[in-house]
Amino acid sequence: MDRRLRGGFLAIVVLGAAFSTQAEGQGTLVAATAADPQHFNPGITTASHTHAVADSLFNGLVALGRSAEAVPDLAQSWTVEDAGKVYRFKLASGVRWHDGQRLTADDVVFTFKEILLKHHARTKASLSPVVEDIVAPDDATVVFRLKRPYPALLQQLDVTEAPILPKHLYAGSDPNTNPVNLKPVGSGPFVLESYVRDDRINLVKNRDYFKPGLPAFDRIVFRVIPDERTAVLALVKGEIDFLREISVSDISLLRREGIVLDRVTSGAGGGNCIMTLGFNLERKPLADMRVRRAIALAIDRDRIERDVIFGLGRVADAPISSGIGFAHAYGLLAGFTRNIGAASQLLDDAGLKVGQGGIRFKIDIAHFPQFSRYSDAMRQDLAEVGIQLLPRQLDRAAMIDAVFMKREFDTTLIHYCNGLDPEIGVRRMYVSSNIAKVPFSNAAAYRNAEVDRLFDEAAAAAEPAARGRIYRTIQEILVQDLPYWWLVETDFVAAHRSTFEGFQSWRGQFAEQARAKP
Amino acid sequence: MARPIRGAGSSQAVTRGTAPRATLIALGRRAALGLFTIWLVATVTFVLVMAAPGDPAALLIGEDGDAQVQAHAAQSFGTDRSAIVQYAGWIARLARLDLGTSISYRAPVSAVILERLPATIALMLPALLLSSATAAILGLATVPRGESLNGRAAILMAAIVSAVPIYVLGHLFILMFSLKLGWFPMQGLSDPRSSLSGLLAVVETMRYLALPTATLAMSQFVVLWLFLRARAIEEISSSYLRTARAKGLTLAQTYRRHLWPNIRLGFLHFVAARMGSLLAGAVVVESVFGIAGMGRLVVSASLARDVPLVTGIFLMAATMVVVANIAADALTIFFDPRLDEGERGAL
Repeated sequence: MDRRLRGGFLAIVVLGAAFSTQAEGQGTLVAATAADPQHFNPGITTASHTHAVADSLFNGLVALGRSAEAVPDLAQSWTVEDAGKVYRFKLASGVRWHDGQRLTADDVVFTFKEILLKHHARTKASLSPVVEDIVAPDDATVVFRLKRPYPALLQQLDVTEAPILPKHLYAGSDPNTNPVNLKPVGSGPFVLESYVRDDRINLVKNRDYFKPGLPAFDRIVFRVIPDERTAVLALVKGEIDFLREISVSDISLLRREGIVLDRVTSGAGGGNCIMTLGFNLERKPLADMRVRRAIALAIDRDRIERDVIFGLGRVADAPISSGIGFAHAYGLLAGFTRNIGAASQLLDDAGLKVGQGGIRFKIDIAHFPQFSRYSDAMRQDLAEVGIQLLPRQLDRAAMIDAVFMKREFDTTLIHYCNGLDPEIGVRRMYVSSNIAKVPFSNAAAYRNAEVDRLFDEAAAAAEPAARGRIYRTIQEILVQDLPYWWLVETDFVAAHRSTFEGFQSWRGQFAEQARAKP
Repeated sequence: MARPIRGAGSSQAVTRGTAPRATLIALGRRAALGLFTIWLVATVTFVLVMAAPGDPAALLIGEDGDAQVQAHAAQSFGTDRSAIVQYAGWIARLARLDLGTSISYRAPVSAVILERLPATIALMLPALLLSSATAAILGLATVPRGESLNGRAAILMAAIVSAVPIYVLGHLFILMFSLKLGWFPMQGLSDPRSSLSGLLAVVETMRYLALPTATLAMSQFVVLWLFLRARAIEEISSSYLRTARAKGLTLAQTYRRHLWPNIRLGFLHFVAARMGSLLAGAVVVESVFGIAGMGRLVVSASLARDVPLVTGIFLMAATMVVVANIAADALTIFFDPRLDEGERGAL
């Protein structure tokens, strides 16, 4: 028995050795993704788990560089005419869909009119108010006519915001239920080969890709690994090569193991994100400005930067992210250093006296479970001024229901991503027309006619300098009113093995230019 | 003279004929009750998911919201209809053995579930066998030292092992046997960089299954072991075991021939009753080791508020549990010598 056991054990070890020496296939990249994409149509959803995979199958009119500058993708050039009200795009020649059909301006017009402006929540919200018409004067030209100058347009035309879909497969169908969503035909650098739900997605190189010499990889395999810890260890061991988003707590381990880390300000779900405390202005005592100001003064944001995000980001110094340089109001929140005495005084003035057990009042805070470290830190801070913060951890569906549909919350913690222009992800938080039963809209239910007017004015101004001035005025008003309290700007960290280079981790289509190191 | 004999013969024939029929009726009753149970479980699941806060359409359209986009999606997938209408539609389809279409995966529920079964069975069945076999052997081996120091040490160890959460156990295994020693892969069921076929593929899959199976088995075996040990200790003072020992059988023979046959049925029932716990363990193990099984499907379907899929999963799971229990009952009827035919009918 003993000997047999030992024999079996030996056999296992020998087999293990035999398999572990098997060399990795040339030109294959193994990437991990945390959740199944569920389908491959990036035009009908903004869900990051779909985009993480599907963006590699499609193209946008433009691509975005590391600092969000537009570079050619399907459009090889463009001109801006009529004082910023007309954009004329010239398409690259010889672009074919994965099924061999030619990609023309007709596909672009169809995609915007029938898919993106109806089914892509972010693009519809930002573009439908400004787009007058989109036309194709010939097969290789697309013209956007706008109702007013809209300088943020190019940043919303990349593959994540506006993937171009094949008209010949989507025309006349309901894009939500079209079976092509599971058998995608794109124009991108990779083609879907096979898909095993929740297990893996195999993409192979598009040999007829219109950009010569790209992509370098023969194959990308996405492994679905829901456990973050396992994914990190698999990266260390070499079972996977690329991980789009790692937690800060894993940084030192990965550095020690020689993994290359790439810090970027945007992830698959959006860019320039600020962890934000939203006050329900329809509830007492948060309707009182003094109470909101007291809470802002009582929260130790430096400690959040140090202990919660481990320095991976910075204390927010204005309502608009520092990643949108022309609009960011540098140092606007500098005066808000932690001041318990002033906070207590404000609460006393508001008539909220210290009661039994040193408590003035109780408020809840609704948030996703993964944000509990933030609410823990704030709970301790607020306890010092007699505010008892009661965390309510909710899953995504329940959170949307509680905060945006039923408005049953006192405060909420939301990771608002500003995007590349205030039009994309700032406006929605503040304008009164966006107090709606819509996820991640104006959670505070903030109403200020002046702010509404200024947002419209800023959107129409053509000059970045002029727009910046208006956004800075808006931010000054917001800091007076404090509908939200801006905690920290958070960065994203992508990680890959040192045998590869050229990943564009800030883009949905991260592997178009990546290759194995020579 | 001949008549009574014939009479006796025929009455015997009658007994032989009716007893199995009574048994079948009993089993039929169990089956009907089982069907009702399955329907009840599925319906309660349906109601619970429908009542849970959140609209699946809001999740489908992604990270950002827009009322019209959401309304479009709700219309496409029929989630804008009232709960009653949706339930009626579900029942009507179920009558045609159609579990409907998953909202999140956009594919037939039965296909989404069935494709998970191989991985789940490959994980759960070996874990089940491994944990019950280990429990049975260890359970019997630790009986004689029931109240001794060794016995207590065994229980202490059991308490410690069962107190470690499966998640932690899985990660300990990964750190030790995969990252440090490099014996086993840490995630998935095959190597994405190579494609093996035939026997090599089977061996490779077994290598990938080693750690998850060990984790799941480890999390189950302690309870099974303690159950078996307790039952064995109850029996140990029975006179039939003393007699067996007195007539000269060794301790091992006594256990194998007399003790084990008396407690194995209870053990079997206990194992069957723990299927739910095994599935719960599989949820964690599948997440930790990145295996696309039923456990993970339950979680993702629930988070997506995918009513047809969650209901379909629970319907299948209830069916499995009911079938396992009926099978255990059937085994009891046919193998338990203590049940005479009358009792079998009453069961």
